[in-house]
Amino acid sequence: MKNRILFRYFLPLTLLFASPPIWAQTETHYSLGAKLDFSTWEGDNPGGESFKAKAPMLGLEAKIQHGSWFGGLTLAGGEFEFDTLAPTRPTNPFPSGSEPVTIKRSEVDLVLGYRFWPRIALFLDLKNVSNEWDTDRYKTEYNGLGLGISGHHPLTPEWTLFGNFGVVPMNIKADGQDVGDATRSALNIGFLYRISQRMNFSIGLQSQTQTDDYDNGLEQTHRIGALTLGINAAI
Amino acid sequence: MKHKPYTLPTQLLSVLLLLALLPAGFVTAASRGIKLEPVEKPPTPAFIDGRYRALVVGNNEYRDPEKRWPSLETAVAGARAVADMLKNRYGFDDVTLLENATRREMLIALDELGRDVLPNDNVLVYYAGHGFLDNDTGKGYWVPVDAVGTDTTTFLRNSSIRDELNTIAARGRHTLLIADSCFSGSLLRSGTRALPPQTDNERYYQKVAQKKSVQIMTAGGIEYVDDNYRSTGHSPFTHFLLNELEYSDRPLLTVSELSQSVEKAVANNVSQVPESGVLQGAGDELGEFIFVNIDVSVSGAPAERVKVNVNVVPAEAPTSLPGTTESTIPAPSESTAPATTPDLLPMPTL
Repeated sequence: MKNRILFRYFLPLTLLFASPPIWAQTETHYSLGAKLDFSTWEGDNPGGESFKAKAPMLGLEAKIQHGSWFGGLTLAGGEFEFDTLAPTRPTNPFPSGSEPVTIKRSEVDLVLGYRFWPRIALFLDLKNVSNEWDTDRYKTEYNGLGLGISGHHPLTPEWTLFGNFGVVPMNIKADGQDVGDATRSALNIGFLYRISQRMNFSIGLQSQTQTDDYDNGLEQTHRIGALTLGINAAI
Repeated sequence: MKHKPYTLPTQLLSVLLLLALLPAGFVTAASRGIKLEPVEKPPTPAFIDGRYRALVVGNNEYRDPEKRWPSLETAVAGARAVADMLKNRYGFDDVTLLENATRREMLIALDELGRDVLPNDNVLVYYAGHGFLDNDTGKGYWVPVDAVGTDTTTFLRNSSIRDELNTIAARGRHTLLIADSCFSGSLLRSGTRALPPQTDNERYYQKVAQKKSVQIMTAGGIEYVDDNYRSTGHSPFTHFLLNELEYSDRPLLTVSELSQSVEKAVANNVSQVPESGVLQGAGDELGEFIFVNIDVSVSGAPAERVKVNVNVVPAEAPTSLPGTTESTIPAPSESTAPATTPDLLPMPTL
């Protein structure tokens, strides 16, 4: 119980107010962003068959910055149509992985980060990934809290190199039941172009690798790669 | 594989893009043009008759064998940007840019500048790099890239800098030192001068232009200052200095006006307070170094003719002069220069 209080309330509040001079002297900035990921979702089913589909994922983000702190919410979604082989389900295996299926995929990230060095930040990502089969609305959900590190390096006054890496352990639910655990590692790298002082354009590559370990002993892997185009504007 | 239409996300994207574009629309709507007359001749006002010279130094790559002086990220970029700004926007025709300068190179450059200066010249010296304050003696220094640990004999002492400035000031009309380094305030030994009058009255500029000036702007007082400001690639001081120089729509800008804006912007955004004042004992007569903006954009006019003849824009000029075109640059009270710059990096996610 003590630990729970410590981790839930005391540590976050301590971190939040640990730098009062910065808090007191800096302004708060708000920004909105949109991104389009040209994604490829592929992987291997427990039986060894591979699946693969491509689809655009549209994302929106709202971000707040205050001094060295930043945080916000991102939402992304897309529909992947698997023509032949699809990811098999951990429970209720119909339709089987060999039938054409469309999976609606959505990702929600609640992020809190702290820039502890001018160009380096650590961030926490409370993540939710949801996959819904269009055939019978069967749904798998992944929830977890990940830790990542992000950085950037200005190349010219207009161009900046940026990237982030992190790992998120997640719990898997299928139709509301706990069915296993997953571990995802993610790497993003890209270039940001400053259109104006209040608007940036970015282009980048995204790579996510995820391993699902089901309670029934089976294992499934997912690899998601994407070319990402984005725009962010201060409001 | 087929793609399905995304009705809701597409609508959201449209709304977002609209929102993103709104601020730009407001800025455009809020911009109040000033009327300026395009002329063919260089814009230097009659009462400013000397040349504009500058020595700009930026030190990033420190090679201290004792590792006391880490490399900096933004000093060279800041120096380059300042040099470009002076040449392209303010008509400096003699600009020397020193990158990663040793002590000897800095001294030689200052000495040469002192020899080149002619009467009535306007001379600007800008330094970005490490600074050092000896707490025991109270002496301040600039730190060249070949500095060794805390061996102050390898530094450039404030008194040496003052000597060089004295030489330059004795020969020229207006001298300005801008120092973006830690403890740069140790160069100052006097308070700031009176605030500039809130007017564009040409008589004021004429008056201060004719009096000798030896002015200093520093990034901070006796304190550490930041290297990189919110991933802008510049220190906070240089970022806001460049910001003010770039966004100023004043044909004439005095150092007092400039420093007032820069000090306010820096102090409002980071925990450092720039200072400004005069170099005592160097013959300052309460004159002003004046930046002459030669690059005010005038929409609709050929680029080669877009120069501002400040002599034809009296303080109480009518808002529209016959045959003129309207500047796209807003008036000071409605400046579009943002007070701060958010980093605008995409949100990192996993």
